[in-house]
Amino acid sequence: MIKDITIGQYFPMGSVIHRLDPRTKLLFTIVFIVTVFLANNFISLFFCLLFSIVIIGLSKIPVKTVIKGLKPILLIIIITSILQIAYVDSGIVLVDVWKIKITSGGILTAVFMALRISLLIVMSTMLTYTTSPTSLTNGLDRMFAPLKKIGIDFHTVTMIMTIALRFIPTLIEEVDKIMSAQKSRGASFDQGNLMKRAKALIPLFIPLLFNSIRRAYELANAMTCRCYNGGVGKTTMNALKFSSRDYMSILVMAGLIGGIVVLNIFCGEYNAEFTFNLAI
Amino acid sequence: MSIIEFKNVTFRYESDDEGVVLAPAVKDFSLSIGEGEFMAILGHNGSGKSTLAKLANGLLLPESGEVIVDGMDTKNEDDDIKIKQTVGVVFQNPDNQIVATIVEEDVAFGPENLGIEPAEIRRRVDESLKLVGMYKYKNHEPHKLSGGQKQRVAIAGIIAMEPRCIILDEPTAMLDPEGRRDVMNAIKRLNRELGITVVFITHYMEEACEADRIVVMDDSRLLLDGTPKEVFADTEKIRSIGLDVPQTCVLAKMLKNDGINLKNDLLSIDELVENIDDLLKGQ
Amino acid sequence: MSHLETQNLIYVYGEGTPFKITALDNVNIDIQKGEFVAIIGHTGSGKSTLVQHLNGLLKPTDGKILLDGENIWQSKSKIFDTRFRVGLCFQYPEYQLFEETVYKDIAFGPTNMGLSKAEIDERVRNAAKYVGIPDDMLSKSPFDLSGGEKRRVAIAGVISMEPEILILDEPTSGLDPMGREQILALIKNYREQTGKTVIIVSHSMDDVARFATKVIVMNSSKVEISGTVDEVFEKSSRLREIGLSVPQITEIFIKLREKGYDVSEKIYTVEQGYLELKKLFEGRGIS
Repeated sequence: MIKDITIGQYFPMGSVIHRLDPRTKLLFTIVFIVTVFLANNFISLFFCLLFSIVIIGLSKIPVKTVIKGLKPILLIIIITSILQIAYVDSGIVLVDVWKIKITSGGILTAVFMALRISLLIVMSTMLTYTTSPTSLTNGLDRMFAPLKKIGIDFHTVTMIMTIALRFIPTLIEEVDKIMSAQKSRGASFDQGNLMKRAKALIPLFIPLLFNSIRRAYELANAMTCRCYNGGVGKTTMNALKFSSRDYMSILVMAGLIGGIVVLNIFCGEYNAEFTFNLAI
Repeated sequence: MSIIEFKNVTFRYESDDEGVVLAPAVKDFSLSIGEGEFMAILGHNGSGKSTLAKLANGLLLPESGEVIVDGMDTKNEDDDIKIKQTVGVVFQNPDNQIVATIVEEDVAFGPENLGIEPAEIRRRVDESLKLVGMYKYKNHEPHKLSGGQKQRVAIAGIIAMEPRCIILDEPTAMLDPEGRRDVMNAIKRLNRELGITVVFITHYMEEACEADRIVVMDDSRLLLDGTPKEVFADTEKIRSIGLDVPQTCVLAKMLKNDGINLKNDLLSIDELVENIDDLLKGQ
Repeated sequence: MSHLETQNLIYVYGEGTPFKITALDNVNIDIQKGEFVAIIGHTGSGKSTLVQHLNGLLKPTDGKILLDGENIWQSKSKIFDTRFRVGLCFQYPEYQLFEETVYKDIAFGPTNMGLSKAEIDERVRNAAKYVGIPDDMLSKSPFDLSGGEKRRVAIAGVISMEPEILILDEPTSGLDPMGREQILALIKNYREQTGKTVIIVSHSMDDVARFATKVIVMNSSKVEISGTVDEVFEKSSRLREIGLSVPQITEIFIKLREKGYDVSEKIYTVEQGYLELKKLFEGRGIS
């Protein structure tokens, strides 16, 4: 169950996208999110879709995997779509039975929103699919390093992130093992009411907690032995360096925003109701 | 010249309960570890042997006595980083000492902390991984490796700091026979090929036999100190403190007690078989 | 009739993904009541996967597990029942202790069985006795005990369910020689006193050669050799090929035979070896 989640997973395909500086990709993701929100008509949004298809193609990540990444938020997409269909009342009336009234405007808005959410999720997961967690934290580390001047030590945050990423698989394995062991003593984790289920987790969480504390203590010792002193004077083996690829990407980003703005002006807003929806 | 010197070291852990004073984990312990030595510290659980590893690089500080690393007192905070760089420590559980999510980035962790130039870190990481036979796994995720492989990555992470001495605290206790063999081979290479001083703490006597010198700990003190042959010659003493003696030694001793004229220092299977063969052929 | 039996057991995980692994490949084992079975194999040989099938923790992809002739997967309630009848103690079981007191932790299994307070009490005290946990330790927190003591408490937590079959996965791993001897002695003792079936999973031949009545050697998801200790050690060269070793003492005698001496190969303890060599020397008039 826990093992099915793909968010945060990394697929080392060695593509052009993979080789970009993590900072470029972080910036890229932010720019893309902004652009998707800027896009206020179907043509602009299709332009964004086209753009993300190109990125996925370049990344060599199988399309199936990308679509699978949408699975956890499928429910959210469905619910928002239903709400849009139910509440938006514009355009041609398609169905009008009893209290249910479906209009062409409702359907179009639902499609628009679903596409928008999907694009946001796909491109965010693309960031983690194409960037190793370590490289991502490295990027964050360097991007936010200047904050140190105003007293915010971002290095600690990225170190915590690295350790968390490193230990998540270990802890998942441990949860699996403790569960099996307690099941062997007759424990069941999927029976009874909520209260009973919560109580059944005690034999899982107590050992997990104790073991984690022990791990933390041992890890701290091991880090001290490897001369860790909070990142003071630390260098990086894979020093981040902007290459021509990254400068190119920045140009592409500028082009993307520019293109969307131009398209927005040319095509005009999608419709009034939609703007209303955006506002809420 | 000695690289680490314990001088009358006593150490005790603090109890969680207030007012309770625990018995010392290490008591009036003196030992000189020479540069380039390959030494095993043998003892059962709770004999104080693991505490020695933490005392040797200043992770713990002695209550009395002193620990001198390459002329530096571990109590001197100014030398802290230098001491930890000189004496690297590898612990029992490989899972709990790997920091990064990619093998090569984990090996780079130590040198990065020392502020070494990126190109030099790259060279050290590659060489360390090659030495322990894990180079082809450099882009792997640590959690997908076996226990023995993880432990070799942990060893590479220490070698990359270019220490002069490496202490391994029961590095094979959690491994299967195959992992144990691979780790032992890697440790031997460190000593034989790089000349690094190796001290490994274990309760497996087969592993201790591979060292040039064995120190036996019991009840927080040093009990025996000598070559494997010297140490295991005293089978009764070793067994009385709950440690194993190679079966060859026990067998040879039993036969000698019956007046069979076997040699005194038989350790390996081949040595014993050879000796028995000689005796029988001599007839 | 067999006490516990597997028929063409197959277990595949990651079916339909590129990471598909066949962990058990047509495994047939057959265990009689009261046997002391050792399952030997290196890491990844499938031995741990096999024992997790025996108490119904894993569901086979194909094949059957029969307990007293009945398929354990016949119904859901049966599986629950199987977990109490076939007690499985995992590797490093001390990391699964969770209760406030040793007593409560040992009582976890019996409590899940829905037994009465008096029955639980009796079982906890009995189990504690088998593993050598003194009464005054029962009220302590399991987290305050030494490593070896925790291991014994965890084993008691399985024994207290009074299973017909007790399975221990690598019960001595990580322990020092003294701790190892203690655990092996208590298992041997438990078996002698209860006469119940015991299965030990191990990668060490040394541990099991002394007690086991039957040895099952697993290699790459299959049963490689199965038989008595003698029958298995006869194939010592094959054992070495698949990464397993025979006890040091056995190896001495294999080497002596290779040199042409007429000594028994069935030597597993130093005492046996001593007697055999004494005979050899005396035969040649040396003593």
